[in-house]
Amino acid sequence: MNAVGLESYLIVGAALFCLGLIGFLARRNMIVMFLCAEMMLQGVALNLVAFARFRGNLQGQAFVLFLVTVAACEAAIALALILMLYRRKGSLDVSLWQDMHEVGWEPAEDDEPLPEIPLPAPLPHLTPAGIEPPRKEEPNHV
Amino acid sequence: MSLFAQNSSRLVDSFINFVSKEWALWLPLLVGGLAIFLMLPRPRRYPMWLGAAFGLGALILSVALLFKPAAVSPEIALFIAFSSLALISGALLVTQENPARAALAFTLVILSTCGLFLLLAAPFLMAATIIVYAGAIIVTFLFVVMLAQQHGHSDADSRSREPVLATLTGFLLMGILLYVVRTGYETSRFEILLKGIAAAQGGQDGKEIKSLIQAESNGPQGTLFSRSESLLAELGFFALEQQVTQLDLDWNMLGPDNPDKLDLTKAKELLTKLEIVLLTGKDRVGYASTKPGRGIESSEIRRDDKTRVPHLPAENSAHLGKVLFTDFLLPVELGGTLLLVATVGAIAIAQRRSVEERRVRNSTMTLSQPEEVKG
Repeated sequence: MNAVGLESYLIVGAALFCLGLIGFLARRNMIVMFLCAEMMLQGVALNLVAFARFRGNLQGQAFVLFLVTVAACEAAIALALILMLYRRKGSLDVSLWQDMHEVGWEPAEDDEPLPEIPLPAPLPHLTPAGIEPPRKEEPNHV
Repeated sequence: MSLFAQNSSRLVDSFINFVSKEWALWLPLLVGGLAIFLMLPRPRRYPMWLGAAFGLGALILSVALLFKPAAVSPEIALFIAFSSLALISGALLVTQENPARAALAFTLVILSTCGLFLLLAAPFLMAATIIVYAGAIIVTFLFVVMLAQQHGHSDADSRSREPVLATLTGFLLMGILLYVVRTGYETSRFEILLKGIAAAQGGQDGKEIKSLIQAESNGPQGTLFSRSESLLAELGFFALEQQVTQLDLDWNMLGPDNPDKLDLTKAKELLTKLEIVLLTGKDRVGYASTKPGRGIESSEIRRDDKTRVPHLPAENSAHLGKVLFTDFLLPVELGGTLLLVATVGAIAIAQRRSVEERRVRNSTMTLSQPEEVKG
């Protein structure tokens, strides 16, 4: 038999799910966390389509259509929430919200300084056309 | 105390046994976990090539040890290409510092899973996923442009929360899932019987077929029929076992005692029937319930002649629509309602302003009014 078996698709689906889980747990940018959650949903969808293929009926595919619907709802709500959280703290960093932690559980702090990247050189300021530049010696003429 | 020591030594023994037996499982996972851990963003990053080398090693190891391609066929090549692209870009999405690049990696994940959907005979889902996620990705890009810090490092992008624990959790879960998939879908005994059937079907005359069906040379006693019967009975597939019992009776009716007069076409017909029953049983391995569900019964599935993979209807979207609007009519309505509720909720959440923001806005308004009057 040369065909790819069900187990192989299940393994790829599980791997996508777990990569998304790692991203959701480890990353601090809320947009990236949202993308990782979507990737977990993709892993599950792959499993369902593989089951539909190897069981010879379409119920798994119908299930994936509902999954896409729920993913769209999740995207709408998640992006609205991200927008609201950003308005409150001015940053996408999810660790700014860790004062909501459980009582008696120290929040994780990362004290290592970030490497400095020098800002790009400021653009030269040219005098706007049609306006006479201020001159220092002007009071002497009067 | 001694009991505890005994128990713990037994635990250690079984752990060592597991480690030495299942190395094909944990070796790729270990290398992949190291790759993800090394590539996760942190203030002082490890060199990029180190994580990339570990990641490629994990991919090659998992193709060689877990997938074990038996031959080179277009399907296998496409499967390897799409799944490794999906996993590589998934790893990039997790480890990429720049959120815009992460969104691009997410696009690649979606496109390669859509390729896998095509391989799994789901063209409608492929198109639907691409259309839905194209919109989602554009909106994500918009948010990245609007909200993300454009220059330099920021706490949100260049630090990770607990990289060690997160990687450990993810890869432990992956190891458990893969172990369950490998043991739950253990079909090697079915494979041995199916190989025996394939060999017997290649037999030229009655004597050869008889000896191949009754092959006692490789281990277990009994004909292919009785061995299949005992395997199916052991797994609790009693409906299938009865079918095989009938086939066994038919085989004995054919008169295997004088092989010269054996009806070759009928014998091969019996073998094909047995093969189909065994394939059905093989498909059911790993399912908790053996009761027939709704929809097509497993034994009635039409299969491809060569690969023995079940046929799905060629008109994918037509049949999917039929399934949606007959079996799943209520869920479709509920899904539509859910979309409406989510839209209303998203608008309500996004418009709400915080208390301080409202206060600041009100105070600036009252401050600016006298100035306007003055001006």
